[in-house]
Amino acid sequence: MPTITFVDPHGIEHDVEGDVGQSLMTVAVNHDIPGIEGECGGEMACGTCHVYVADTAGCVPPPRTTDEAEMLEVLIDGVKPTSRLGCQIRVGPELDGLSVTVPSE
Amino acid sequence: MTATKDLSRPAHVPTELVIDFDWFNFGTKFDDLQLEWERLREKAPGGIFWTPRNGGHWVPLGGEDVATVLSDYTRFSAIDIYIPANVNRTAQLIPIEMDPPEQLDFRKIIIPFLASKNLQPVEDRARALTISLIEGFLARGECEFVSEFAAILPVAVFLDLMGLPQDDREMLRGFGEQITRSSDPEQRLNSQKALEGYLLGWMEQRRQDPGDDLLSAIVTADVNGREITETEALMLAMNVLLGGLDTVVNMLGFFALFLARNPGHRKQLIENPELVKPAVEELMRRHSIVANGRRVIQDTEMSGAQLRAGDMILGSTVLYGTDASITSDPFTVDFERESSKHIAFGKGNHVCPGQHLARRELKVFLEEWMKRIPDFSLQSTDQLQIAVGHVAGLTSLELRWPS
Repeated sequence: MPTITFVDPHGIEHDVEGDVGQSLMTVAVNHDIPGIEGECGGEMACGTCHVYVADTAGCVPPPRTTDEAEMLEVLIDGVKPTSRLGCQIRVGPELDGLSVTVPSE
Repeated sequence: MTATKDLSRPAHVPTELVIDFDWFNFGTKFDDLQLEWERLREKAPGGIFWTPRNGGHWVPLGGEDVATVLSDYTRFSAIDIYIPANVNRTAQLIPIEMDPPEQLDFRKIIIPFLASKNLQPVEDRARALTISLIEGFLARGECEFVSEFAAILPVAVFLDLMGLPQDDREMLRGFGEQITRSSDPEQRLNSQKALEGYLLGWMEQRRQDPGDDLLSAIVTADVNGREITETEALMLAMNVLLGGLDTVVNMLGFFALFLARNPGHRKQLIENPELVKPAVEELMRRHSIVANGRRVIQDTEMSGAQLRAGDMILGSTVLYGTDASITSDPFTVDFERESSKHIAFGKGNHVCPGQHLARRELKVFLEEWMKRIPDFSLQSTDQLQIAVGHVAGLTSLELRWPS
């Protein structure tokens, strides 16, 4: 199973395995990663799975859809180019080794 | 509310799962609504039952089952959230009676006005109003909390957001009460029509002269590259208004009721204001007030019961917050719990978009009230007036304090 690193708001790294096809949000919630709520269940409706995706060579998730970009813009204060909704990124073999950072608040 | 053999039931519902339960009338006198739901768990130890009342519907009692009903739209559609189901109405409410993906197209329109990052100015206005309301009755040493505070603060904040006149507050709140707590579909429909008429007038005005308010955003919205239709805009505005008119109002009542009865918790909030934020979550967990229906859209099983496509099922959010398998000692309010797990704002794709606003209003209430009226109690021990329905609430709450 691909391994994903979540850097939580306290700066602590959590290396966890995710099933192929699961969203990063689901992986984080299943492993109790602090700062990821996934309140709306992955419907882009709440913004509680916001993460920054590190620029890791070889681990590039597919780009944001228009819906995701719009929801980031309205929900999140200070959207960065690396901002993503964790619910919109599916774990696949190509993401093995991906590192994402959970923003504080 | 006893198990009975002679009530009509669909063929797929076994007799032993039938309880005669009218969710608009718990039948006995009670002063703790949440405990009444708990008693149902004792009556139906299997975790789910069917009642023939209000058109007939399922009532799951386990917290996780309730969360599933509210969030798994592949089996439980939000297309009908009222129990008993509506008749002859204009259209479904938008977006609360929609399923993904179209639901998101409409949710997007309102979210910018309710996103936490945009709410500080709204909170500041809510705080100013809170202070002026409290100071208006402080010296009297008593107030009727619902009409003099709870029914004013959130509704005023909301009318402001919508750009609607404050003078319409009482009329609109009356409509909201009928729509969320009337068990009579006819009466509900009349209030719905009256509210629609009111909104249509203002919508036309905003189309001519749009401002930066939420109602203007609704009537001028773009839905997936096309203009929003008149009916869609109306149903969206209705939904937003109902969310704002009748929810925080009632939650405030339960907050005040609990604190009036619990001097120890009041003392904690006064001595340690940092507990206000967790207290908001903990009080919402213990007093979740919303219950919404879903339409079963595929045959499925829940807690051993066979549900058929077409059945209605009721998701009562307080059953999650007070489920002992989710929260230990759930009826004890403890502001220092590690976490207060609740679904007071719902669960899944319909999770309340106004939750950040609601949290701020509840926080402001606790902060400003406790500073000014640290010591208060119920005026009398008369029976509490608790109304039940899609949003439960106190009809009135007489408080007094040393002045």
